[in-house]
Amino acid sequence: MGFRLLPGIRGIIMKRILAAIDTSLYADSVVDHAAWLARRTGAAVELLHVIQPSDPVPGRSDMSGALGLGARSGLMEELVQLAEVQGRLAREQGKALLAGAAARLAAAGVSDVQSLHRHGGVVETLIEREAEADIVVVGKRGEQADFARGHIGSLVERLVRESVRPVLVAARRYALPKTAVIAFDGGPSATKAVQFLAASPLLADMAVHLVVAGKAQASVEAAVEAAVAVLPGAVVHQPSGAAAEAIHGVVTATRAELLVMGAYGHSPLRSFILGSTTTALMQACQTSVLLFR
Amino acid sequence: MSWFERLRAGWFGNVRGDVLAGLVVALALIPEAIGFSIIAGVDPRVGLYASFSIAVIIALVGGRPGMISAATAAVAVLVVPLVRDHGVEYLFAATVLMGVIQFGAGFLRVDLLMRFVSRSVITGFVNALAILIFMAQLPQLIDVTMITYVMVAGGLGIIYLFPLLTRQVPSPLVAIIVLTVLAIYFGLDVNRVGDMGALPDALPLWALPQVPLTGETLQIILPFSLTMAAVGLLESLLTAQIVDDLTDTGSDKARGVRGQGIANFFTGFLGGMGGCAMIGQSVINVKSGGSGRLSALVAGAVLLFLIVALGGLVAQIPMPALVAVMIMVSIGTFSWTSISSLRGHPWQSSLVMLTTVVVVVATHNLATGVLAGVLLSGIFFASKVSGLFAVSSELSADGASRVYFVRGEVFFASADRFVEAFDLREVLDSVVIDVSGAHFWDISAVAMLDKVVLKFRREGTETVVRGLNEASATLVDRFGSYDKVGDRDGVSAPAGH
Repeated sequence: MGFRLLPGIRGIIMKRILAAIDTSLYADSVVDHAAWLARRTGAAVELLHVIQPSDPVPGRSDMSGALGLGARSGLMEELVQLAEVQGRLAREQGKALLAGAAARLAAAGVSDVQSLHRHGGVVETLIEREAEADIVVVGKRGEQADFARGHIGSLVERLVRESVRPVLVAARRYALPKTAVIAFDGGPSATKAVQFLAASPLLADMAVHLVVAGKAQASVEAAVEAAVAVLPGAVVHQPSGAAAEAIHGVVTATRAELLVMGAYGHSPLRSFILGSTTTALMQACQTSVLLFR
Repeated sequence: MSWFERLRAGWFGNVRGDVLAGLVVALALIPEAIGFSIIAGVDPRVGLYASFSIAVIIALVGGRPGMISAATAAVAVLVVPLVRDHGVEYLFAATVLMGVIQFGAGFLRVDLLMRFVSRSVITGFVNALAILIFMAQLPQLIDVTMITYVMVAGGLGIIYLFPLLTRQVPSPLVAIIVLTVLAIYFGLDVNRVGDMGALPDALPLWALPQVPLTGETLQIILPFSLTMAAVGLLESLLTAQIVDDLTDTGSDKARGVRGQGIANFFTGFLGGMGGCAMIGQSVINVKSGGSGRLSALVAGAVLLFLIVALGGLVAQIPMPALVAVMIMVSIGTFSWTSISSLRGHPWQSSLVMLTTVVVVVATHNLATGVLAGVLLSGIFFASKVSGLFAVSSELSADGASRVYFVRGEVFFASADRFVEAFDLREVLDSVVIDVSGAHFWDISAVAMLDKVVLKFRREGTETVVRGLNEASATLVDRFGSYDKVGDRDGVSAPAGH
């Protein structure tokens, strides 16, 4: 029951994939996912590694509190030296990382690759670069996230909130996606996701499951019908219970490799207090997640 | 980054470093706050309450995380006459007004004026501040027992040598503890902090300053509030710049200015003296690993806890121990490289720096010194730039006419040299003054050109001005008095018909 593009729908053409890598364990998976996208769409891949500004201030341990001759210039000199050493190390590391990723892409048959090495904030740089890309690939956690299992990195969450492109959040291990689950609530971002997928070759030949969670409503029913109409072959599930758990259940049952959903409907403050379905699902599911705003 | 994440990063980005640095700073603030209170002629509790209140409020509303603000020497030296002549309640009122002025200044973006304060003036400011702090210690060093000098020297020895042993404990604190224990144990004959006035025994209370709400009061405090506000902002903006450089991050200067206003406004009501950012403490903070808002909050809170809980012990601290700490602050604030570079820098820069220092030390007012320095550097700049123009000329083949070419910047400071550049004695039929390569900056420049044109015309020489560029042309059109040149592209009608 593979899904094929309906005749008559204008296809979305992807030209550029922006893949962000860092020294975390997710780098290889990000590269593999980018290669998968590139093979499906024929798009070029831009590999991005951002060197974050290092802050040498907390790293020192000097509680002496004494101010001697040239206290300011001495401290300045010391901080610059520390940052210099860290900066040089980060640059070498980044270069090796980018070279390795490019080689991995080449081995996966993707030749149109550009590497970009930048200083700055990770999210700020990604937002800047995504203007020229059609889709962004990142790992579920960055190198700075703590390693408590099941957490998503705070940078990832910020990126998803601020990005205007679809974001593919890669799981730690890459598995060739054969089955995709679309979490569908009838809302604008989920509808956008369905329209995008219907018009792009991303899910071509994959098994597609549409999960409608939450209370049954007339408006949602109509949206589901519209979605099924453009995604022929999609299997519709309407489980009961809390949305996050229900969707997680379907993902587990279908052994899907890819979860597609709309992202973050609420303000950061509200999700901070109440939690958000998006974050909960991204944490619960071990699959890669494709997010639409 | 959303406001919420910025908030979280500013407060909890570096919890361990901030808490440790906050502790070090709190310990260093105690002797300073007491010392500055003594400078201002008020009870130590006035400076201690002020340091607590300003540090905590700036942590919440300041513009530069990692910067420490509290009661400062710069403000303390200003208020001496106010406290002496009118009493401490007028100081509280002046502090409230200082806050109002600074808050308003934040909306007028006075922080943008900082770019007119040259590096030499800043160095002069810093050196003058160090000298003021040192001079304020002199009363504690004159007419005192021999043992006082021994203790000051011992204190400085501990402060500078103890870090060689370990850098995990603040050495000024060690100096204070050792000297206090010695003074109590041997019953040494030295002044104690308790002799200098009341120490806090409770949390500060919210109270209106006890001054009559009249125009007369305003007349008394306004001049003080204005200088306090100006000096406070100067040191704060300067310190923010230093912390910016040390941490390689930017900061919101306008918010910093408003934050100073809010902090001083409330501090006046809490019975504290006005304050601002502290260069020395901010350097200590960064040096100890502090870079977020939390460190200033911890510093203020721990300071209050220590003085309320340990009030009795604080009164026992011998003054020589505080003097040693203040001398350390003075040494650490002074820009020692500025002495060796006095000869290497252009003499104008060195003169600006020295003038700033001399004026401050003479007036005890950092604002006056900075004003003098800024004016002087402005004059030097104008005189340097006034050399950036040149006049060349070409005589025609028949010797009857000459073309003058003016290039470069012409403004008020160029006046004499501009007129001198033309040879008015030469007998000519016509003169063309080509200013297409010049910029006329002000009406003085236009007046100069007028003068030259009129002088030529008096000799009966036909005079043409050509090639006024856009910038100069607007000025000339508006202010010039000689006959207007027909067009601006250089083909001109003869003047003087």
